[in-house]
Amino acid sequence: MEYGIGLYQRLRMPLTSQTLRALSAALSTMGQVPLNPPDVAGYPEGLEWAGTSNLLSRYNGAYTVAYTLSSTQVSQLLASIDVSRAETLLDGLLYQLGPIELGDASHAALLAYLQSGGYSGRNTARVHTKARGALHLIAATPEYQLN
Amino acid sequence: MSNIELNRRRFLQSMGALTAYGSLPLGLARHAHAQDSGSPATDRVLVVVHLDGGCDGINTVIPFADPAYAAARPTLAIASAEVLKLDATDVGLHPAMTGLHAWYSQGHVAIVNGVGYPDFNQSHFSAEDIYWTASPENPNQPTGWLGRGLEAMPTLTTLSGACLQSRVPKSMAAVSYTPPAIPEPDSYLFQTPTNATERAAQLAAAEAIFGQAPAGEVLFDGLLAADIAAMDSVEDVQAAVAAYASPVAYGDDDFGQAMKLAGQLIHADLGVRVLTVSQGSYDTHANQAVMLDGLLTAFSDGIDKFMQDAVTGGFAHRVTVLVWTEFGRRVAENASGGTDHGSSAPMFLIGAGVRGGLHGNYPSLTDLDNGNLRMTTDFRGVYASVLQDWLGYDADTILGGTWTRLPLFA
Repeated sequence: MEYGIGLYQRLRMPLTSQTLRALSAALSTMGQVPLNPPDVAGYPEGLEWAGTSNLLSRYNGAYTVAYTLSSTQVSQLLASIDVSRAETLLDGLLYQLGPIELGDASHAALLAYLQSGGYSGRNTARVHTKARGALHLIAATPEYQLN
Repeated sequence: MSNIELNRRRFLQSMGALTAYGSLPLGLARHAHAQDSGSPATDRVLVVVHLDGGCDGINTVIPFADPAYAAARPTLAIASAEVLKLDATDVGLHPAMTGLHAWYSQGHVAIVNGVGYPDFNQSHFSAEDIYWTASPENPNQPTGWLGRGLEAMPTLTTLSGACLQSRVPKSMAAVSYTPPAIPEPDSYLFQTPTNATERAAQLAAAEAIFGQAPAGEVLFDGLLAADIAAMDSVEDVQAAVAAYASPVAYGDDDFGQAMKLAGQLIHADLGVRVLTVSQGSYDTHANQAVMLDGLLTAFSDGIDKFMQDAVTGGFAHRVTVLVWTEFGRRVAENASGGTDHGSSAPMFLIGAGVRGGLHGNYPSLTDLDNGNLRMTTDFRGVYASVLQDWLGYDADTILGGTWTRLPLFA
């Protein structure tokens, strides 16, 4: 629940009836249906929830959110971020989504992704493409799951 | 946008050569195994089905000839004429279990009566932990009997053990191995964009993130292990599903679909050795007659279809299905048309290699322990038989003790 709602809130997306229905469907595949725990012991704690299918559902949910943002919504999200360099774009997205503090390995992987194929802050379409992909990947990091 | 699975496979250990018998008829496959020189074949598979919630064993394997049965269950007792008789015995199967009954008649179903352990625990969670860890004495230990078995394998692939359910049951928990949980294959993907360059860049980043060195923190490292298991299994799962369209029409219910996936994964020869499936809830405190009829219909049909699939798909000689529940129900029915948490219950083993028939004594319906059946067979004896005689594992090491094995396999 926190993962799904949190992602919408942090991306400044409005929680409409449509997004809530989509979120509800995603939560069911994560094994976290609101007010309907998987058994009478309640919702799983620790790492019990972190089965492969639940994690993939999370990541695919984040993918759906990142790639269904309108161009206008991406522009609004990036309005307060310095997108001139890949490093500053990453820092801004991490702040927007948390703030999230990444370990060296995750940070390096995300930076390499943003820089792959060449990064230009003046190319708006490319910045948007990379921002969407980075949002998806940040939401798939272990640091984000544990934040 | 499309669903593109991660294109990556990581073998935990090198795969050994797999024995293949091809598409032999069931009888011939059994004969082929009879020629084995001793140790079980390395491609054998165990499918463990949990009847979740505590299945009423008394109305599943029914002691219809015992007058105490009808006396204890004035509204729930199933009439003798409706019971599916098991040869010349005085017990039979619930009328909904026609599919399983047919396989029993062919000698491919073993029913172990009165399975349990001393001092039964009637909490679902505690009882599950006991069966999952194979330890009534220490059910809080972190590993399960199947997970320990998998870790003892000389070769281990990502899909050596898989849970065809949303969560990994503790039975599959291991120290150094994270089995994937695959409740259904359609959404078992890692989505990436259709643009090939972008897709490759995202996959490379995911590879680097998930494949980073452990941090020495339990939660962080546990997530990485699950991430890696996911990365390594998505491609195989999708390929297995795409590669094998069974001619058998499985039911659309969750159990039927899980058994269908089991058949697809086994058929794909991915090194699968242990699969877990859960069906239920069998927690029939009220309205049991209707609930149990529906549950056992789906259960029996799912097993029947899986066995048909195994024969037509040529892997019948490789599979045994073990069916268990965390406890049976009390002998007497309650005032809500149901039954409450009890103690011992039957286990089922189904497969071409199984020695069919009834094993162990059916517990007395009158010599009770506070209204509950006394156990006649310790569940660890069944586990030891399956581990040693079917999978070829060292049962004593995995179970932490020696248990008398039952003659459950031909």
